[in-house]
Amino acid sequence: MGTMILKLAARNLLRNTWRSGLTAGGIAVAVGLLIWTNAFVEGYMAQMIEGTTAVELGQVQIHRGDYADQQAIYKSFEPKPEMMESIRSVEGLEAVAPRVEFFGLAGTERKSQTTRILGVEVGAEKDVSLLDDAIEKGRWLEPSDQGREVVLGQSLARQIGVDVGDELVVIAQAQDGSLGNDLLDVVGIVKTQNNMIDRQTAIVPLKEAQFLGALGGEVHELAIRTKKPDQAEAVANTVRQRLADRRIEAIGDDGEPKKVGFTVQSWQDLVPEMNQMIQMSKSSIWIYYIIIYLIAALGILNTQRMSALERRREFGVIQAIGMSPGRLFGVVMLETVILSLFGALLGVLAGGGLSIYHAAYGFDMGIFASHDTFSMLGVGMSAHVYFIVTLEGVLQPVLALLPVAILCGLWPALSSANLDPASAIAGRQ
Amino acid sequence: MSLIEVSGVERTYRQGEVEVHALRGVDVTVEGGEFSALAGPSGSGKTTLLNMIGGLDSPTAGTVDVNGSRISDMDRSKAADYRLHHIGFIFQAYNLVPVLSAYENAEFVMMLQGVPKAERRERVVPMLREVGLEGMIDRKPSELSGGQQQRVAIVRALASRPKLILADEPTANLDSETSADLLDLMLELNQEYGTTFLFSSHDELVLERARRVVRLRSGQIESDQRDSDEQVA
Repeated sequence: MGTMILKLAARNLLRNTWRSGLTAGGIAVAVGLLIWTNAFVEGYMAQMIEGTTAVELGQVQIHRGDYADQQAIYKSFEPKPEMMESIRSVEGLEAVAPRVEFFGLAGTERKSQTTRILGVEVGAEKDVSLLDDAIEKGRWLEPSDQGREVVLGQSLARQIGVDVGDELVVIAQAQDGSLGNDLLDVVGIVKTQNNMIDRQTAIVPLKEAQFLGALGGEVHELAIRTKKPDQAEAVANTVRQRLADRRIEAIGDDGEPKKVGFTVQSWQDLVPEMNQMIQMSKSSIWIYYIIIYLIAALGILNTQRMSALERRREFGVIQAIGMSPGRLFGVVMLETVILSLFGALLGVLAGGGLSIYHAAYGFDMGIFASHDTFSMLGVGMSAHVYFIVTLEGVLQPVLALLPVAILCGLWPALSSANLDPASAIAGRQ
Repeated sequence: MSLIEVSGVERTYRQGEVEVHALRGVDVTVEGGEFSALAGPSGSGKTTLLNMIGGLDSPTAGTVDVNGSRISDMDRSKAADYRLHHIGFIFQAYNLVPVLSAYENAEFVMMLQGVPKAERRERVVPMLREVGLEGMIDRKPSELSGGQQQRVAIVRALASRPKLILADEPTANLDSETSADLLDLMLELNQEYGTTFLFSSHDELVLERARRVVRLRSGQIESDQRDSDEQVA
């Protein structure tokens, strides 16, 4: 019985191959477009997260508990080996790198500029950020961490008027109140599209920064890279738990000694505006779903309604010879579902195939941007977007289509099931 | 107990502003095994009466009992189920399912009844052969002539072995030779299986072969004549 009903539904769809084909094609375009859009948004958002976190930020940062209130040079801490070991063993963590960060003055005898001095442990930093990949001119810092050398942001170097091979004077107030200064060799220029780095930052080896700031072995920040960007919050939570009982002796802003803990923040906490934008972009996809499926629904409804009206006499006969109204309702609904699923399958093949292609070779957004890279909210973005195809991104449009198809099938199916067989056979309305 | 008992059946419906009395107090009974016809001019109410007996329409007043069941009180689903198991239909315009082959059309009712595939084949193939459609069972209705399609419709109605077959103008779209062949075939099947046939027709070929002719005019029975020429009503 089931086979016959299935056969009947399938053959009915083939009666008017042009009409069924066009409707299935419309559904395929709708489903394919949504799969393609999902993969694009996933890729674009991943690129935004990468642009936000990979260059410098990292996915998780650890600071002294009172650092966020006022980022003062003296709010440093000693990254003790057992603490580092405890952090490194967190599941999902890729690498951790200590950093020193404070402001000073950098310049030459002709020109100077307020500069953010970023001290990095050269070997560890390579595993956490992409700063070394952003070298535009010259080279990255020596891995020995011993060099008295500096890498400058492109705009900063231009403003001060120095280039690779020049010398740079750096002056900063150290944490003990003394004035630290040194003469450094400019060995490289970085261009990241990140405004903070390009316009303000001088990157020096960690030991050099600790020397300038009289910090001894202390640091201001531990930057963490997770194995996957979406593990940031989970890793931050685990690290937070592990550091929860850890306190250090410190001098507060009021000059009184106190005990402070640690603050652990994921990139979502550090740049909430970016996180909100990503969440909003993902949610707004449902607007596309509604618009696209509304158009597809009109196509399905038109096809099935026309098809049911054309077969009014036939449905009357089928009911007269004993098919129950419920079973006839099922046949018409089944036709709608088969047509929609066939269209969806074509859409999965087309949309999925195109998305896989763009995942491998990228999608050139050059028509929207005049350069290969551009800055968005201060974050460097490539105009070449590499899509990310996920099972959810493929299945979601198909699963969302099913209720649409069922709703579209209801009217023709109900009107077919409720027709008066005698009138239908006689050709009366 | 008669196979069909129609008592005081009236059917009134509105056609625009006009109230049409299709049947006005019809009483008729049909015994099992009869080969009878409802005759009368267009608008006399013969198709309406046939639809009442088949549960396709409900009377405004009166009752219709078929094989002891009050079909006139059944809801749509129950009436459909009753037709499925007890009544076969043959229509004027053949009305086969165009996407199914001759064989599939012929087994369609049995398939709805849940008859196993092997048994369906066992019943349908010899009957299609008997009505002269051997070698054509895989053809679609569009590949068959009008007479051949009506033969498939007859097999569809008979193969499920109903007690009653209602045939509404079964020869209206056929030439006289084909009509005569089909009527002879139905008469043979009536004698072979004992199935009751009730026609609605004004075709003389049908009325000649029917052993009883109930004539209607303006929704009322005008005469009820049997083979013996005995006037019943």
